[in-house]
Amino acid sequence: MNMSAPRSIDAYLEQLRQTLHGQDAAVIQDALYDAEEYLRAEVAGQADRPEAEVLEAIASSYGAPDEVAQAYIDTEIKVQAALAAPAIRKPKTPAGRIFGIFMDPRAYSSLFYLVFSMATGIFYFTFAVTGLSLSAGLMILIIGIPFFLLFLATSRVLSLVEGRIIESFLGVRMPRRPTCDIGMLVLVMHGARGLGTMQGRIAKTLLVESGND
Amino acid sequence: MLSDSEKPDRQNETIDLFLRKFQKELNAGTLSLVLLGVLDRAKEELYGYQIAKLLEKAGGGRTMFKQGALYPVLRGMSANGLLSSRVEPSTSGPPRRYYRITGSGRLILTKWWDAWQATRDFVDTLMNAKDEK
Repeated sequence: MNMSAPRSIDAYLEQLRQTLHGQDAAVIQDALYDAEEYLRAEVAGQADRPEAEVLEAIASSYGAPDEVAQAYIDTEIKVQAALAAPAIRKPKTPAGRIFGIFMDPRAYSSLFYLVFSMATGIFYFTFAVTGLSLSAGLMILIIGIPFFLLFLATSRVLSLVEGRIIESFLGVRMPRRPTCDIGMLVLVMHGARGLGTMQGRIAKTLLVESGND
Repeated sequence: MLSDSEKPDRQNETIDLFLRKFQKELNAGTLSLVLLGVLDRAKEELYGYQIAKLLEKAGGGRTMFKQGALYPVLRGMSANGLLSSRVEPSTSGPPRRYYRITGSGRLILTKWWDAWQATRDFVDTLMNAKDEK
């Protein structure tokens, strides 16, 4: 793989994503998150130099995308080995395959997760319905907007917690960091501004009409 | 002529490859020790970029590892309970993860430090003894 040296943060992240292609989605997300933190801090710290110049020096400090990808792959192999349940002897007879399920610890932890998820599921449902309807209801007052943002942030934390629960019960690797999407925030801010303008218009028409009467 | 100038190049490449492989194997253990040590001495929580720059400064602008390799090690130690972490928003990019050493991390650090000193003394004694012969 012979890729040209990246000249912007986005190009670097894209190369890193390509090099990690086929790896676990959680590993890719973690690696991109870390790289973005470093690169943005480095570019911000050297504001007097152009981004392309800073990125050229990155290969010798942070490491080229393929080197960084390799570091994550190496670590992930160790993590996977630590997470994996002890290997159990695979039964060979058909009867053994069917009834061997009673000996499989994974089956019991999955069963427990099913029961456990009923409790968490009820909680998540209540939380989502309460949060959404309260934010919609309070939108009329100005506190609806910060309340909605708070609701979004809490549900994000809850999904990370759920990820850890799934990882321990079902043994599926989950991301340990939230995705950082500016898009959602921009959407919410635009929504808030639009709502404010609309409220202003409603208030104005009300006041003007009552003034005319 | 061309083959003559090519030969030392290939030899240098092989030497370079061996050196890098050796360095990588060395780093596998020392990086964790160094990171724990840095976080143990730090008076406050540090985030990845800060730690990377601290090590770069300590190494006089050069480090024997790529700074990108620090992050997966930090994450691994955090998953093992040697470090605790906290996320805080930042103005320059994605939210930063701040790391702090835990009690068990401190305990492990003293053990690792002993092991490192024993290893270093052993290697030094052995190599110096060879010199004298």
